[in-house]
Amino acid sequence: MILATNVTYVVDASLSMKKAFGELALSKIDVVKETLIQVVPKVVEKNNYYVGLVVFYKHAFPLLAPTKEVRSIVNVFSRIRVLGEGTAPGNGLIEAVKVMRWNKGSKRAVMITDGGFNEGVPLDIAAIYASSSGVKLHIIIIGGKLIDMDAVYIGRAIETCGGEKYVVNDRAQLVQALYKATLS
Amino acid sequence: MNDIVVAAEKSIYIKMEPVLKFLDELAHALSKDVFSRVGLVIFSSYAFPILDLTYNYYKLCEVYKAVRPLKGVPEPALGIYEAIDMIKSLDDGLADKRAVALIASLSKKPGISLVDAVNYAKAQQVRLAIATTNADAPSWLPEDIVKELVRLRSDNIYKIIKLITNGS
Repeated sequence: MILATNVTYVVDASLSMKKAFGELALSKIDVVKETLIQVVPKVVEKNNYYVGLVVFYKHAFPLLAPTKEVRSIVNVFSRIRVLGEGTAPGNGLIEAVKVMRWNKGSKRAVMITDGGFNEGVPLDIAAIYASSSGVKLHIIIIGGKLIDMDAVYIGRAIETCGGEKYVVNDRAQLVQALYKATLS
Repeated sequence: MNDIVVAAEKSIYIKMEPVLKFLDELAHALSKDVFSRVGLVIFSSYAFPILDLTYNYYKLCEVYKAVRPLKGVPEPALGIYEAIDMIKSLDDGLADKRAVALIASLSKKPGISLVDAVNYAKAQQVRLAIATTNADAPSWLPEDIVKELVRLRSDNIYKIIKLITNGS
């Protein structure tokens, strides 16, 4: 029997994600949304993957419980948008672990953020919960520039959960990072 | 069989040693009753799960220690709400008793009503034990809660464990 893989994307929907990204005039959030819609359905169709979605700003909440239904995934991902001030990545990670609580198989959270962490549960502490729940954490940093404390929290969280950190500066790098993070 | 969630404060106000001793003795007591599950919620000015309901009792101390003291005025009510959320979300239908053990300093008056959270627990038929690491009950604490409040000491931990596992 092949066990399922559960991947929940944890997307930063804070105000800074409105800023332009890469050579195109699109905002970071729009590039993330379009890239997720481009990459995720291909992965789901080829593999036994269940996909979920959590968004965070000063709050965090789930938008999609893990599912294999490509139409639902695309439909929900197309509603990703900037939600407001504040950035609480730890709360986002906790929600991601919660939406996968009942799912069997391997579990991973793929966080996409541009940093500026200033609210909620510190990311490295949320990572303890992820680790105790058997969730691996990958973090994709979009835009490439982080303040020191964000870098420290990300480093600790990755170390705790046994994942990878990806820094991306354009859409092509984001596509590559998403494939790697989703499949590994 | 019990589902027990400990909502433990991890703020700059709480004394860690009695909490760790309680968690250690709870793990020891539960290891004799292999059908019970235990979970851990941490709270300070916010609350969050740190260990979902598990049979791995000895993780309690390890994960509590791993969290550094958090800033802000502790909100024990949030700890209770998060603990009940864990019990309900992870209900596998096997537990015949559900309990929350709140371990708090109660050293600062919280902004969120503790009475409302206590009543919510009762309405959800979740047994609730409230223990404090402080020697005295604070003046802001309602009389109904003071009556049932247990001062957490090394010589009475078994009483709290009995309260949440047997209800007496």
